[in-house]
Amino acid sequence: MAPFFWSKSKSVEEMIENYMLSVDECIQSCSNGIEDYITNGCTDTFITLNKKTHQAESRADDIRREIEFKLYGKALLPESRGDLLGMLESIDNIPGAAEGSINIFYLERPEITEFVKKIIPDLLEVNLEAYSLIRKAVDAILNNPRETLYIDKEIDSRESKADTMQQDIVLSIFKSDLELAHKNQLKAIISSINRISDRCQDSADRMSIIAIKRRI
Amino acid sequence: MWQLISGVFLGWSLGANDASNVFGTAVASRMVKFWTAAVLCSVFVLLGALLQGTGGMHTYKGLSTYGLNFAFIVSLSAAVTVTIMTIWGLPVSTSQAVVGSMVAMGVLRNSIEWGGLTKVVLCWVGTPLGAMLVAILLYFILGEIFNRIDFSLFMYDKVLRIGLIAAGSYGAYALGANNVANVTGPFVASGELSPSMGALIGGLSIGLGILTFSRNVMMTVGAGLVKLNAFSAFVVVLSEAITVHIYAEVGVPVSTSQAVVGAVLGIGIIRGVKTVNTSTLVKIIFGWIGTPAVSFGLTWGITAAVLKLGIL
Repeated sequence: MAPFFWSKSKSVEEMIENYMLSVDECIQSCSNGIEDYITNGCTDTFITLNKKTHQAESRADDIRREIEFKLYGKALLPESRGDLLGMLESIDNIPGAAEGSINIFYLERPEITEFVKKIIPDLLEVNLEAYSLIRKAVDAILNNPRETLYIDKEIDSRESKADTMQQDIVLSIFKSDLELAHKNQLKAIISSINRISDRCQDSADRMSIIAIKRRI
Repeated sequence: MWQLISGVFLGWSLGANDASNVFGTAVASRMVKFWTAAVLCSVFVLLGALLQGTGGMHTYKGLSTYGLNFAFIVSLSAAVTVTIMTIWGLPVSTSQAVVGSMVAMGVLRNSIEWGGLTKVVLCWVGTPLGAMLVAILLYFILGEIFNRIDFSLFMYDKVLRIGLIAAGSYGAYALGANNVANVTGPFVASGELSPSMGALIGGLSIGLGILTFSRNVMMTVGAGLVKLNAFSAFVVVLSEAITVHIYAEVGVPVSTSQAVVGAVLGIGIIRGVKTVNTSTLVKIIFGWIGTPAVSFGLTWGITAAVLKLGIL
């Protein structure tokens, strides 16, 4: 019986790796797109990157559904099945947040003031760091789950750093002489970027629970 | 030898009822497909019966002695009792049904061996307690091993799934080794059947019961009684198998149902959580008390009637 179980779960593992590759692409396109927008405005490159972000998010969604279908086909123990489904759904919020963030730039074409332009790359970097740790956490869950607990702490520190940066930026925005509508628009943009690290934190917590549950 | 039909009937009902104790959790939670479990269970029951199944038959010889026709009544009453309980979805003890019948026969014919009966009843009490102790020990030992090896999600899954199948197969072996005496023991006790032939016929009839009618009780045990994670389910099945196998070595047929409930309660003690659904437990305890009582009553009634009518 073992080779049969082996091949089924192996295929789920491979599908998760494919899923994460799509999420990687989504997050990277989003980050590149936003950086391009704040440097050059709404160029063709930005529009292409926005489209790539959307396509990668859709592809990730499709792969996730395929994995769910496979999991419902009894490839795993019920508790592992539930844990994996929960993990994937929580990870799926991350590309969702990235897509939502770049889409605000595409739909609203906001005017980014100079002091905000300087801060956004740093904010993006911290959010990307949080995501790269999620990538590590997924690898840990699939290989050595105990490590997930340490990674969760690191993600928590990135999320806190991103929150502090958000507070400072929003404070600066509302101290400035910009129109109230413009202030609110910039605030919404900053929040939408930071949603990536928020979702990373939620997902890391979920993975930590999976690792803790397997401690006997 | 037409009387052996009731033994085959009893074996069939035993298989239908007791397969749930070794593969119920795995099948009800869809960890293992029913047919995979049923085939494995039947094969290992037969192996257990053939390789180690004769010990319990000698114990039954020590309970009471009677002829083939009375053995027929003993087996028939036990089989009817277990079948009724199986239809109700209750995992009950075939050993209790057989012993209830044998005691009725012994009392009626004034041939009961109280020493043998005491040994059997003490083992009944020892079964759930023993399984509880084994489960507690195994939980700590295996838990420590699992914690030291940082299994990946998929490896953890594979190890437990294979562990459940291996423990279930071992449980089936122990079931065959221990319980085959219930099926053909009364006929061996009557001197009409050799122990090895008894083991073969008993093992085959238990296997038939597993393959044809065990799904219902598997669902009761797996879904209704136990609320366990995969690791605890593995510990429960392994503890039950070890306990029942020990009694097979001792040569006393015991209840796999009682062993399972003892092991589940053991897990409950360690984890400090409610692992047993109370209403299902009440139904099972009712089955435990009711089983020997019903089979006793049936044997008493049938034997009294046939003696009065002068059939036997």
